[in-house]
Amino acid sequence: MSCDDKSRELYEHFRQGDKAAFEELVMLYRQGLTLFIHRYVNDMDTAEDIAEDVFVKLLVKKPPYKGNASFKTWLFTVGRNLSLDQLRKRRRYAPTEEEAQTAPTAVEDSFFESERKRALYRALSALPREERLLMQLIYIEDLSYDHAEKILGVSKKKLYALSRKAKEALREELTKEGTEL
Amino acid sequence: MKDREQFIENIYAKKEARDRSIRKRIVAASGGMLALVLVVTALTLAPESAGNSPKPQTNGPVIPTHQYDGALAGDSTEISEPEKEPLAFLSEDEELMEYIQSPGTVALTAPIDKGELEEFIKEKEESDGKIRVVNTYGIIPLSEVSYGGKAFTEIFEVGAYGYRFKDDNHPAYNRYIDAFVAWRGSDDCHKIYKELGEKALGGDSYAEKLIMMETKDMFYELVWSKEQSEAELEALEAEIEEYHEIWAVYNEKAEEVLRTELKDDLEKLVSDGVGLCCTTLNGETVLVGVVTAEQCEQMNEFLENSSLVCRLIYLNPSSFQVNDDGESVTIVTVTSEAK
Repeated sequence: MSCDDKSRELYEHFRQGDKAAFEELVMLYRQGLTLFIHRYVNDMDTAEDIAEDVFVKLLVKKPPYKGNASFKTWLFTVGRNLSLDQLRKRRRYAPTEEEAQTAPTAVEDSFFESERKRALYRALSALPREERLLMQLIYIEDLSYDHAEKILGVSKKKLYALSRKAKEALREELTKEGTEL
Repeated sequence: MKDREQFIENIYAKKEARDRSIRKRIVAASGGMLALVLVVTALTLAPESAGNSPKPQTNGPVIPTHQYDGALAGDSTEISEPEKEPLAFLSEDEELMEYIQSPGTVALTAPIDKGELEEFIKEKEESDGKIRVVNTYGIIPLSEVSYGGKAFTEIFEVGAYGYRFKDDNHPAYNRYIDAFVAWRGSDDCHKIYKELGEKALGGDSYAEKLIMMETKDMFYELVWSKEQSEAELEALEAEIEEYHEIWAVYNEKAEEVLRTELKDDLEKLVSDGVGLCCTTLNGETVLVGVVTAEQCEQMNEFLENSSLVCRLIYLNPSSFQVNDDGESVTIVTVTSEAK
């Protein structure tokens, strides 16, 4: 069963009130979402807290399921927006580049199946915020530019420009580590 | 990272807390709406000058006024001859009079919770020492209310949907709806929204929250249209939708109120354990919202610990006089004679 099929089946069960299906869905997306949110808030506890809030919204809204990527887009968009809310509350819109951090190693260990993705994730920290977020969606979450556009609220034109710059920087960063993009 | 069980448990707990909060707001909102309606209708009939201490109206059937309870003494007191002067017991009770004449210039409206209120007032005290009135229902242009406006140093009017309640069977009600709609189209109103919007954009989360309770149109038009990306607007829209869920129920409830006699609803509120909450404004006691005795007590607890000299009085709804003269006119103000 593909990830999409599994996700669809779980979602259908969840919408019919199956608690176990909801919990499985949560576990399926939790870590990726939390790591994504972490890129905004720079704090693992806060990121987890926000991820919980995203799933609360899922419980409440039960948006229509239009495929795994769309579902993921919904989750990540809400995650991004709640993160921005959180940053507003802190009265600062973004961590400075110096403050940008990766998630704790233990979290990475449990999330990344391949060494390549882990290296990629770590290399992303060297990028400016917008590029970092874009690359995380494309390379870590395997989402398309269309979906990244929706999640980040940035025009396609700008996304491509960001992507070009980010790839260049990433390649350089990864080469140092002996990994390829 | 939290373990699976903890993470899932937190989600359910948050969902439950959210549901509880919405239920609470629905109750508060529906009650508060009614209270403000009552204030407006009362004001419509009251003498124009605040200093004249308007007398309670006495036409129409009267709900006997036998007791008050709550914040002052926590007990019940028999009141003599309530039919002649339903609220006379206030001026006859020295202790109560002293209580309600304590200076204070704060008016509170539900539903803002204690924490929000505390934060808000603290912030304002620190900024310029003035106290604002935040009327989250926004259906009454308080700046045009003679006795209220004088006491307030600044007024925010934030609310929604007043126009939806217009009902030809209730002319008195419609008068204030007309006034409200006119006010909403006025420069003053736009100015207030703009200021609020600027505060929100400047990171004032309270202002932001208030705006989120406003209609989407107004929200987009005046506040976020140029400043926010589409995705942010979508997210905010999702937040607004949540408020709309609350307001939808609130609207339904308010319309239901209009379809029935206000008196009946007051009686229902009594049976629901809800009373009216008053505060003192320059020696006058003014109804500010419909709350439970417990909520009133909590508010007082907060006020006592603050630098504000102001107390709320919880009045059992049986203390109110309800007119039934065909125009749904209802008098619920509690006024003090002495200054």
